[in-house]
Amino acid sequence: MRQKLQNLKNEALAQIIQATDPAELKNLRYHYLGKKGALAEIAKDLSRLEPEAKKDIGQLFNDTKSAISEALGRKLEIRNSKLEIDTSLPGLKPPLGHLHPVTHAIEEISSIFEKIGFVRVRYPEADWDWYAFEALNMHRNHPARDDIETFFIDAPEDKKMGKIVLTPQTSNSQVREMERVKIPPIRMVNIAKCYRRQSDVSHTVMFHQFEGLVIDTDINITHLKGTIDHFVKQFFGPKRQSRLRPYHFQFTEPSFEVDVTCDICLGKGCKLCKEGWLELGGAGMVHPNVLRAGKIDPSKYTGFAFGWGVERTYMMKSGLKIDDLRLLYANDIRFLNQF
Amino acid sequence: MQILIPDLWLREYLETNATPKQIQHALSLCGPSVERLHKKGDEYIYDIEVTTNRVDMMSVVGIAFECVAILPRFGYTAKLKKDPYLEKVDLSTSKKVNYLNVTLDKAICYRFSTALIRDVKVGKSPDWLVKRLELVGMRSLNNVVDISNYLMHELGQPVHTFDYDKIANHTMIVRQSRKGEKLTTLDAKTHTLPGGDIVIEDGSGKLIDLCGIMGGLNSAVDEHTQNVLLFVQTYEPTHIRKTSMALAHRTAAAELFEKNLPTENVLPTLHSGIKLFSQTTGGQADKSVLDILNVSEKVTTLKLACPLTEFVNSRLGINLTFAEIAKILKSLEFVVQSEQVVEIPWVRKLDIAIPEDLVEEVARIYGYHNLPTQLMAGNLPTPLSDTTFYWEAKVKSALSHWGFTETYTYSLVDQDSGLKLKNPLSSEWTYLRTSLAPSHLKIVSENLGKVDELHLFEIANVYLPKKGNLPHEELHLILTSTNLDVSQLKGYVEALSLEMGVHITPEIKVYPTALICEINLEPLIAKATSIKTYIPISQYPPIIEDINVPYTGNYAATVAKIKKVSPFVAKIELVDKYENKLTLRITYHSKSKQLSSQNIVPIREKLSALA
Repeated sequence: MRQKLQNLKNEALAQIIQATDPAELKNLRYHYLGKKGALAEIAKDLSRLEPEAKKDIGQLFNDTKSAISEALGRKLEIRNSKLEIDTSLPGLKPPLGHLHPVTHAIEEISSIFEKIGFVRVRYPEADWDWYAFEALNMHRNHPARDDIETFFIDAPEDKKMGKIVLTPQTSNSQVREMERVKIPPIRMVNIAKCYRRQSDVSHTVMFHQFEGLVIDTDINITHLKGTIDHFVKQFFGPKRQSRLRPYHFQFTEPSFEVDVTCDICLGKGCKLCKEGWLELGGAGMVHPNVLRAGKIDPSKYTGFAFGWGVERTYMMKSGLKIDDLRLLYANDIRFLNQF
Repeated sequence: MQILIPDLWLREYLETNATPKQIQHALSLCGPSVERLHKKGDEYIYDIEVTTNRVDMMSVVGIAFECVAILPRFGYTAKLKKDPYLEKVDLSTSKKVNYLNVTLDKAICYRFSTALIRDVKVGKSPDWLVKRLELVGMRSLNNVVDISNYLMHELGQPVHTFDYDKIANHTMIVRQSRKGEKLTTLDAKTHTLPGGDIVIEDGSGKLIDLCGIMGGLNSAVDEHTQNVLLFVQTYEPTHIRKTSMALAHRTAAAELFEKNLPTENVLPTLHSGIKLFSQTTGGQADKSVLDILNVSEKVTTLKLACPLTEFVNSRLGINLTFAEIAKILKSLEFVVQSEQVVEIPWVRKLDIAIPEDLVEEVARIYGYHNLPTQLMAGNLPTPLSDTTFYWEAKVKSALSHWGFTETYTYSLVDQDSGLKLKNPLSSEWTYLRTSLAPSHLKIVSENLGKVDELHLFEIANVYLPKKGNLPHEELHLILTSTNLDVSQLKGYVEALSLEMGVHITPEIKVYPTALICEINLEPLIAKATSIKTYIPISQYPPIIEDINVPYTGNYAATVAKIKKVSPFVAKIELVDKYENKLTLRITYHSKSKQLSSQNIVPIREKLSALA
């Protein structure tokens, strides 16, 4: 009898769960709980039991009956509530999380470059002086190093590699990528944390850069222009334009500064921009000394590189309006929850 | 470097029909960046950024030369009205003069030139001079000082003036300083020299000049000065730089000298200076000018292994003719002798060293804006097998959809057992962190009360020190919740382990304000997989029932015990825990047959025996 009840319960619950329309539920109710239903049949046998067993099995009988009727009730309730829907009431949202704006920017940037065949890599954020400076044609006493306020680690210097620095830019990835790939083609994008000794409205001690590097036979300035233009149109929108201006970096020759038209005036010039254009960052054709440092023959291969701030680039998107970069790293929940 | 160039001063050298606005536009695209065009009264002033390799453009004349090359490319007329370097210099120079005894360390002073100017009347400068200096943001002091400033701004060559009569025995010894020597500069600051600085000692043994940076106060021109030594030199640049940095004394002169100035600019500057002295102070130069040149002024040429035309075109991606390339280079004063040999003008000889430098000159004057735009063809590189980025994005996306908010905290912290910075900017950012948890505890305390509950996460590297090597950068995930229900946070980690297809043993730390779980992602990503193996859906429905079992505090052991009872126990889920009893939902299932109630009976008996 005990087994019978247990099996009846399992069977009934399974059928109720699977039932899809009200007619079926009505049949189930009739079948199990009706006057001539399965439980009623068992009840007849109950009366014949010994008093001891009667008490025990009776309890199980009641449990089974209430479990079945409860399951039927729940199922019907769901159906009924569907019939009395008030769609004008606000919904109950699932808990909403938020990705940080820097993550949004990094995902967007990497996907743009990955679509044109760039491989995303990751290199040390605390690296040797050799990769961060020396191999990039910036010798120990070079004045160009002054402009880059670098953090040094308090650790013994390596005889060959020099000091350990917190990378002030992502360009340490250039020679590292040449060493990894050995024989071009190279199309790399490296997005990483960088560090500089500066903290104000437009500088944070930690920030992110993305570095692009392309090396192959027959790479020339038109390819650099094409790549930058592609990025600008994809990232900022088809109305924005880019331009190159002459500049100087030790690790590229020629070197450029890349500008993008202002999102407010689209290049005409307005109160918010410098003569219609906003500075995006540096770029250039890889200096032959840098190729040599990466053991790539500059008479066979040429390349270009660019390295721009992730935060800065993202701020230049229209409509963002973050006036102090330090907000990005203050982690005020009321700020974070806006993205 | 920044320099202000007044339009009226520029036009003293440059004849053009271009307006200031047009000049700004053209220069910015092909030469130095004219960041702003200021207007002061009726006068336009160009605010120009000059890159460190183009120290030759840190002057009115230098900018005028650039304009001559660039403006015609935009359809404007442009030519030099006068060339200070072509003017006939009627100076008689000599390596020895009777008015000054000089002992010189040749290694640190490339050119030493000076003229003695007698009967100088120190006084007010003429209005035109005062006005020009004002336009470039300099205050007029007296005619002698103003001349030095004027010359440097016009020609890019720093100039110094000594009161001749303050130089003991009219003797100068140019040498390197000894450590600890003291010198007071014109601004009345006394410096204790680090040693190896270029200085001048006079006949009495006192130091009278911190060369290339600032003159000594003890030899300065004052209102009583009658005879002036007009002083124009070039120095070995790294010495100047070292001293200037060590003393944190960054003067306009030091910024120029440390970039290495061409010796060829010295005499034209001295010549202009002598003329200005005569015009504005009445002083007359001694007929004999002292000029000691310690380096060669041979014309430098660049020899190309690859023909110029082919090389330039391969980098520009267009087809210029040899004549077009030669014309552009000529406009910049280069002499293209052949496809293999290009003569470099002396103003550029310190900056042009390799064929790529010529490419830059041709490309920028031709105009980057005139070059076509295309994406590269060619083979694609082999993709990396590293899946870190994929999983990082996946985990971030899952957590944000489950209600977690992502943070970005500084990797630099105030306290840690990790690597220390040698030159921190503030005590707040002194160590490279080895754990993300302290940063999150800080955020929690800063945000308490702003929202009901915080659910935060971050993925970032920690930097684990390794002796004699770079730190190991280990990618960590941190989950932080101010809801102190451990099972909830653990549930998220368990859900993540399902997403990644790996087993995660979370270590949850309990703090008074939050629960924190920090996970090293590296070993997980190495094993993570998005490949799911399909298990055919059984045609036999399972039997599900709830049972109660006693609980002693080790869930895994309890589950294992139940699983051991029968192979038909397919799944065990926790429904409820009440005191020392667990309600478990057991799913019985067989892949090969329909289980009947008869099959379950013996199992159920064994399970009740466990109780």
